[in-house]
Amino acid sequence: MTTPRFDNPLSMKVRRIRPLVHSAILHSAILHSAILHSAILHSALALYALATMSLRLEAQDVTVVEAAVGQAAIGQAAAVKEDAKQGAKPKSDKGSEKVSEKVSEKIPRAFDRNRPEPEEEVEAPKKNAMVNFAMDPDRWTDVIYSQLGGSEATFEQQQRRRVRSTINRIELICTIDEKIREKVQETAELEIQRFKTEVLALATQGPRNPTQEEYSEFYNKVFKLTERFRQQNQPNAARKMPLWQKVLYSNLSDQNKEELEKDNRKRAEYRQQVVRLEVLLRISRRLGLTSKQREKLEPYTLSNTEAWKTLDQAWQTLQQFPEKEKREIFTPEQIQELKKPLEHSDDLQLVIREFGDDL
Amino acid sequence: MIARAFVRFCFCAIVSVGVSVGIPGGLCAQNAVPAIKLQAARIVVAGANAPANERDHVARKWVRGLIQQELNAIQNVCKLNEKQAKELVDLIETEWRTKFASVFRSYSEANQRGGVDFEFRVESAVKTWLREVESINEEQRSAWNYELDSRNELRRRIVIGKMVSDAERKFGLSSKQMKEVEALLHERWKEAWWIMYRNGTTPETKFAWISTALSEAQRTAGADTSGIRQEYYTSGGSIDLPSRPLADRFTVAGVTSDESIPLQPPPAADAPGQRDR
Repeated sequence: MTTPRFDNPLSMKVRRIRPLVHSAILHSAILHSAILHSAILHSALALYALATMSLRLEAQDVTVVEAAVGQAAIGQAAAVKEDAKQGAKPKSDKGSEKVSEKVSEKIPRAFDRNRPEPEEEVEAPKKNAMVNFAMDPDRWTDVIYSQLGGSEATFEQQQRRRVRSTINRIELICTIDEKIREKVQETAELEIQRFKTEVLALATQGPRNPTQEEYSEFYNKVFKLTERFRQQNQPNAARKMPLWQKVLYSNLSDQNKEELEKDNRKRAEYRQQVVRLEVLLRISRRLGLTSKQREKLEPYTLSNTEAWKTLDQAWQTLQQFPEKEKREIFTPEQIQELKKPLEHSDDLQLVIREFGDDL
Repeated sequence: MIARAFVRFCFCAIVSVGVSVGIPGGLCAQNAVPAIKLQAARIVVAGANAPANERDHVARKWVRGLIQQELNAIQNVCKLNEKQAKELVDLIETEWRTKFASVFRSYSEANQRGGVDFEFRVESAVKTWLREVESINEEQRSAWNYELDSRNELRRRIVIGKMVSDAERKFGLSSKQMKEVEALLHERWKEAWWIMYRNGTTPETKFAWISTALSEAQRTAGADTSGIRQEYYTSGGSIDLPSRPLADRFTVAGVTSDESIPLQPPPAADAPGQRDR
């Protein structure tokens, strides 16, 4: 059931005021002087005209409201009465303010043109700043992950793949229970999450407008944080075993561990042998060795593996060979050539990267 | 006429003296020739086949060094007699510059090594020269071919070894699988792999080539391409290439090239600013 109501607060006010105005006109006409009368008359007429206009508007502004709403309007009208006495602002305005606040909360900050100014002013870049934009934590996060060869997503992907690949390899040698597999994967996942938290914490500490010195100082921290993951690509001796590998290793039987160690040694030996052969080929190129001479030299590469890791080391080792052995392997021309030091060309830098292995 | 010619001569003489003693002034500054241009002009005057620049000179020294090394190896393997040695060494001394003209050009024009495989070019050239010397018999030639095959076999072992090491990281191979993959790659061997490797890149081991050696789990997981690839720059110029001065004649079995064959004038001796390598 609906009832038509006049719920315009202003019109309500005016309707109530109108009889008072009439009485005021009568009283004033009797009691006060002509000047006062005329002034009051003018004001009263003005008020009367306003009231009349308001009533006309009211007639057009008929709305259909629920009964409950109507009661609320009555309550509102009562409140208006009191407000009129106190000269305070009507409550309905406060309500509309609240609504507008709620609406403004829903507008995304990026699209809100009337958003308040930030309390803290953005610090202007220093004169000696490295970059002319602010290095916010997001940028620093990108910098940190770039040290590991990609983005955050790439890092996660790499780490998960690494775990999977290691488990797959181990399963070729010994069986791993599903429970252990899950445990290892969970540990790896935890390790990833921990690292991500560390990255975030460090990124928030990053200077916003770093100078060269500040950048270097912070970069050292980044280097230190990412070290353990970068070392995964280094030979075993130089790196610390990740936690998930420790978990995996501790859950294997002694026999399995032994088998794995054996396989690791074989794989490492394979890689080292390739490196030694490469050094031998370069020595051969430099000295012009024949296949027979290489055959004679190859056993030496096996007996002292450390000396055949680089061309420089191998060259020095050959220079220190006893004369008798030199004469057995090399020709006089080659022995003369061997006396010369290795010249380092600045045309091309020699870059050799080796990879360590997992378990 | 005579007076006019005399005046012109005097003018030219004054200008040339002004340039040589470095008299300051607009005229002399305009005629001043940069030192580099002067140096280049001097090299051109030295001979038509002379090195055009420092890189060209270095390349020539490397080529001569490699040829001499090959001659030593030929002597070790083939045991040339005096006649064979004389014919071979004279032929090489006559032809080496023209044979490697394109090599010198590409190296001198490139920024770095320019993808020039000196070793391969010298090997091919020496093989051709051995064929051209009629006095060298078939047995000697086959002995030398065996030597070249042996070298290639070593190169193959190295490149495939590098590829297997790369695959081990990418696919998580066990030692047994590494051997299997090695055999598979030997079957697929391409000479281009060695050239790639010489130029500093380990050829990629394709999944399809080695999938038969992988376990089901490894096949499902696929390759880990995210890691850093192995990079080996083995062609380190003067580190592993022997160098021989342009003034030294080729020698094999105690026989030196004929004195009548002109040697290339060494520009490094009088050209300022050239490094002696």
